[in-house]
Amino acid sequence: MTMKDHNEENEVRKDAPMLFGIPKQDPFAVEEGFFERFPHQVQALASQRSRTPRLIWMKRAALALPALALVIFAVHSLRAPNDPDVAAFTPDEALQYATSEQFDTQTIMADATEAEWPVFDSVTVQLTPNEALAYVDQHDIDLTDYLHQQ
Amino acid sequence: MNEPTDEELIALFRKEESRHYAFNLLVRKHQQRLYGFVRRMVTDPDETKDVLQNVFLKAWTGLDKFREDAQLYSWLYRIAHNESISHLKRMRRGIFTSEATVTDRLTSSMGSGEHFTGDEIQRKLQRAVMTLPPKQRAVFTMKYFDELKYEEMSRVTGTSVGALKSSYHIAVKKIEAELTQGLSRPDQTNPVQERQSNR
Repeated sequence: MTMKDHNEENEVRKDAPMLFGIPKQDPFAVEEGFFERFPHQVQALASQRSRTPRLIWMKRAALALPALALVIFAVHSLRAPNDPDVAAFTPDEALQYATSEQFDTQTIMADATEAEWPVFDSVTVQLTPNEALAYVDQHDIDLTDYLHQQ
Repeated sequence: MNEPTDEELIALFRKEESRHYAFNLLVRKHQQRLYGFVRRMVTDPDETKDVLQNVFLKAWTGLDKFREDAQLYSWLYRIAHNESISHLKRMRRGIFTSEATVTDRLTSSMGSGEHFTGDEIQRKLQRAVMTLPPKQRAVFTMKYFDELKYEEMSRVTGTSVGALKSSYHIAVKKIEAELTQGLSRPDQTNPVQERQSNR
């Protein structure tokens, strides 16, 4: 013990004269034969434990698999049903993209099948070209200005 | 036959054919000192047995990974320290379980001579120790009863030497206050002074 430790120890002892006046003894009784039996008891538990790790893992897997299946099902159900790339665009973004110079709508519309046409939140009616013509005809819409602009 | 050293025990443990034998010897060698520490921490003999069983079961599963640059006893002591604190925390986990309830339950065994052979001042001291929070109780027990050096305590608890010194000093003051509580009244006598004057 260094001098510093010794001084610290004395300091502590000075603060607690009653505590340090108590003789140190072990006041706890241990039942007879405890320390003879105890190693065997621990040994038995340890042996039991080393025999059962596979069983424990199987039990854990049996509990974890249904939970995992539920999580996968929940995640799958909560995901948007549309193509994520399409769903990621807002209608405004799609319009901006459609009117940009790089965007050739005619080519894309010609290449795309009807099923591939994107569905926007704000669009509630989808018409085939024939249906669109029938709509124009039925509502007597004049397309002259539009055709001149083109 | 001489008692095997810790290094010999570890070497025996790592061989499949002598694993159980080595572990049995290891428990026999270290059980009493560890029991003393755990019993001071939890007081109740049944709880002590539970904690000590967990200590050695953890040693059983962890001994293969034990690094031999550390002392086996310090490593076991660290497990005992952590297990005791975890056990005390678990006991307090109930919504309606207060610190006082746990302490009363743990110290109830001190009422019978079957479990406690100390005199009144020893009983009072142990009750005072049980009023300390678990971590501080561990520090006090390691220093005061087991007389560990601060450096060794630091390895066991993972706390700095400075913090341990401070914690021990505070614990000592608290226990002194518990022991002297009520002794200022003229009708009370100091049991330590009384015993010394009777010698």
